[in-house]
Amino acid sequence: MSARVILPTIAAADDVTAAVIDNDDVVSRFDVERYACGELSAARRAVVEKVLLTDPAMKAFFDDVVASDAAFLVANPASAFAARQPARQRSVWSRVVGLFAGGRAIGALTAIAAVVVVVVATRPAVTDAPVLDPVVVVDDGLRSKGGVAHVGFFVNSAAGPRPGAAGESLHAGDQIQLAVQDADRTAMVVVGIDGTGAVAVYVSEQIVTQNKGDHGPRLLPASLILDDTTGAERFFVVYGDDLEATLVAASTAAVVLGKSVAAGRVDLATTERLDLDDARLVQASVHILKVR
Amino acid sequence: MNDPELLTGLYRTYGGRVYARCFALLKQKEEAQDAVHEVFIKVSNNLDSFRGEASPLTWMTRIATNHCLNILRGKKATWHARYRQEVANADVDSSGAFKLGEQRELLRLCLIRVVAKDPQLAEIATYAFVDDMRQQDICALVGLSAPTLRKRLREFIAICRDELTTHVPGITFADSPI
Repeated sequence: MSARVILPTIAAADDVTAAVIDNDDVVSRFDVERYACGELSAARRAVVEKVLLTDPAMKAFFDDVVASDAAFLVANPASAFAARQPARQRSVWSRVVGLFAGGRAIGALTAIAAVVVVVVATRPAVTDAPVLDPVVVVDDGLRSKGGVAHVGFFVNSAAGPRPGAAGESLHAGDQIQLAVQDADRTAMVVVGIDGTGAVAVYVSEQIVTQNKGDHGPRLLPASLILDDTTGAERFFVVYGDDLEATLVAASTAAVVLGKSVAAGRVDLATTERLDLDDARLVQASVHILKVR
Repeated sequence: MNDPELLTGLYRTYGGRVYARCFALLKQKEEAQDAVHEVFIKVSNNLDSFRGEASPLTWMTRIATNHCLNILRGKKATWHARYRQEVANADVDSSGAFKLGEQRELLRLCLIRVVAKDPQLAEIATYAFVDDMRQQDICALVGLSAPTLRKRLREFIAICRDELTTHVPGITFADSPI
């Protein structure tokens, strides 16, 4: 049997007015894309959201847009893109690494290891600091012990490191160092999202045997220097049993959340969790407030 | 002008959409990634004009569309085989028919054929049938009146019909208002 093709027909101007064809209550896929990018007016957003609630096909399209955009940024991180641009102002953070995924993971992990070594070698480490009480370090309302993930931070200063408090106001140039209490998993990823929605992966590592199950807090070796962006910035630590899968899950969820932050739909001061699909992943977070 | 921070922000928000546009037209991952890079060079070179845009996505989609259509113009293809293959692979309904608008690769082949002769027609057909943009948005984007736009879209559909008739023996057509 020969194929039969159904061709679209375009109504003539005399038949249908543009107002009928382009009814403002009608939402196109392109509208959904614009919605996902956060550039619609409030009135138009409301129309799109109504359609997303009632039209499964449009909702599926929206989900696909969000997921594919996140996947793109994981495979082609903004940090790598920015690195190719002529520098006008250096150091958003002293970013350890950008996002990566798939076959690039091993190379990127090697890069992380190299960077971490450099940081440790060139900066006075605070690893020997005597203050590592988890109750002090982990101050984000997550204080239970025994295999539960925690993340906190120290603020480095001339007087030495001091424990930071969740939501603490910090300034450009301040130097902090993250501290974690490991969950009972073998892989750990730390991602950060700043007030502009920018995402960075700071740590991605296989947890060594002596640390796994040893639930005391530990400082992560690389310190971070704050840039001059302002607003809430949150660090998420995610634990899993497969490093690459944990990395992809955490970074993808962070990119999705970052987009919501950029669109003004989410406040990082109160959003404590990444939307992770895999229930086996364990997470915790802490935030700071960057002020001028 | 050069504004790395603005450009990186645009990349972060719109890079995925630009890639999706490039991949939809080029169908090759590496080629699409290269195209994204080229598109953002053009975006960087035109940031001044960007600042007046109400919809950065629309603006960048247009840059990406024209960039990719230009790439497609330079490509050769064995049309008979490709059309037949896509028709054979199309998802047909219970009556054995399929909608052209839902067959992205077939639509893309038609666009490639059109772009060599009439780049503007290929551009607006991309917005209408690939992006599913509203007609009023296309009119605003390319500066056409609504009647002219509809006339041009009908021209595109007629070309599609001719192309398929020429290259796929025995093919028949039905119409569906959009």
